[in-house]
Amino acid sequence: MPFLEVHPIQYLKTGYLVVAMFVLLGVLFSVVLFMLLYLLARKKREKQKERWHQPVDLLIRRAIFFEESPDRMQIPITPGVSRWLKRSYFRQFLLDEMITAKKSFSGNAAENLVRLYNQLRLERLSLTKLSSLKWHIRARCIQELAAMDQKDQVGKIYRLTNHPNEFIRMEAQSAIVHFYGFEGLRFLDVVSQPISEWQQIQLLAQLPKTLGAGLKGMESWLKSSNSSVISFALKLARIHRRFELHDAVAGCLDHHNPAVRIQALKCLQDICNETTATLIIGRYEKNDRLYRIAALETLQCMGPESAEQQIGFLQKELLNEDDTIKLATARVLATVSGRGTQSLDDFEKAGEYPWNEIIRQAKGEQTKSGKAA
Amino acid sequence: MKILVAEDETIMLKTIDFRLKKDGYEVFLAEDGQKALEKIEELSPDLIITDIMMPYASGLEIVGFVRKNKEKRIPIIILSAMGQEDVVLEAFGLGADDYITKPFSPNELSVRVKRLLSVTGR
Repeated sequence: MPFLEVHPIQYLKTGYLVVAMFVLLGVLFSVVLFMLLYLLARKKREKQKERWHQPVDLLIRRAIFFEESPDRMQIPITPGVSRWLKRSYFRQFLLDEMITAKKSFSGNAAENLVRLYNQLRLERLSLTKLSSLKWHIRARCIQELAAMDQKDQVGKIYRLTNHPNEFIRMEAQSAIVHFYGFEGLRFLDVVSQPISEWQQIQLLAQLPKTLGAGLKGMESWLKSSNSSVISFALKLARIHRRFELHDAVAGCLDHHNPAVRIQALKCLQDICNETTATLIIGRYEKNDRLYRIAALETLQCMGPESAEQQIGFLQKELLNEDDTIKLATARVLATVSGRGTQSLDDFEKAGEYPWNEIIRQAKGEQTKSGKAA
Repeated sequence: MKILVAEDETIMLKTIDFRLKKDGYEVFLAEDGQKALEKIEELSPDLIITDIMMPYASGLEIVGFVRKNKEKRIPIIILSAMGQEDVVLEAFGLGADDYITKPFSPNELSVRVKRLLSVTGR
């Protein structure tokens, strides 16, 4: 019989193939079905959102222009919106729209949006997210609480200013500064996690442009065991010209972190006194190339009086084998009219390459900046 | 008095619309720069309020277009975000008349519109 000519193993193989094909088809079908259901659900939500847009916009506009009177203490909510408010998806949609509006409006309009947030008890929705295991949901919760000025929740947010997750920490720190301005920077007393450069810029942008009655505690931040806290305090001291912190800032020139030393140089440039140049140059030899270049640049920016104190040292540095240092030195000397420029002219190798080029460039730059001034 | 508001944020657009209508103006809305340019041609408004960052054409392009193509001097108020000082200066250079930084109060905008219309004799 012909079928007996086929080996049984071949039958077995064919059987496996058929089963595998069915399994594959089953998986494929399930994937397609899942995708279809997902897309349907998404489309339904999008449609729902479109339907909600009009009443939500209307509610927000009502809130923005709400005026309290003895017979009208609360922002009126339509029955339709009240019904939808039972759904968390709608509440989230409304909250997102309110936050967008809050970012664009100030004054009474913004206050009324906070009033609506409180009236609808939307902080409960925000707070449920605070216990989420997902970092981005927790970060969003903090954003919402800050946007809606929920100072009552400051205790919960403050604890997160030293959270191991960078994004949660960033949002919490920004929220505290949003609530309390300079006073909010108290978290710097205890923060042990690093504050990224980006976060430092964000915080500085959030802070008022003028330092009010005086910020106490900056000296302790300059001695923090967290390098990023020192770095931030140095930036603050520089921006707000905290001359009284000069010695504490100069102390940072001996910090083990080179980035802190460079930041301290930049800060000293703006709060310098008659001792600064000596302090900077005193640490010149024991530091690396980056510090040396930054120190010379600082000296250049500090003005001719500071540079004049260091003419002997600068004349020696003109012989440094590093061309960048030679140029930085020539630039400092060029700022000192009289003795400085004279020492450039009298320099023994002034006619030799590369000094001739370097001196010409430094003098040219000085003439240009003098003209511009 | 016809006012054209160009802004891509719906809530903002509708809120400004509501406030200005309450003040008695005839308000026209454009959700992007291109629509704003079309409406300027079509309506010849008495005042324009425009955001800077918009799809298809920016607020600066709108200011440039109005100053280049319209004989009638139409006052323009720029809506800018914080940190856009340079762009605001550029807008003034192109011929914008006033600016207001977000976040702002709708009442403040209303006052500025009234002032600008009275200054330009409309």
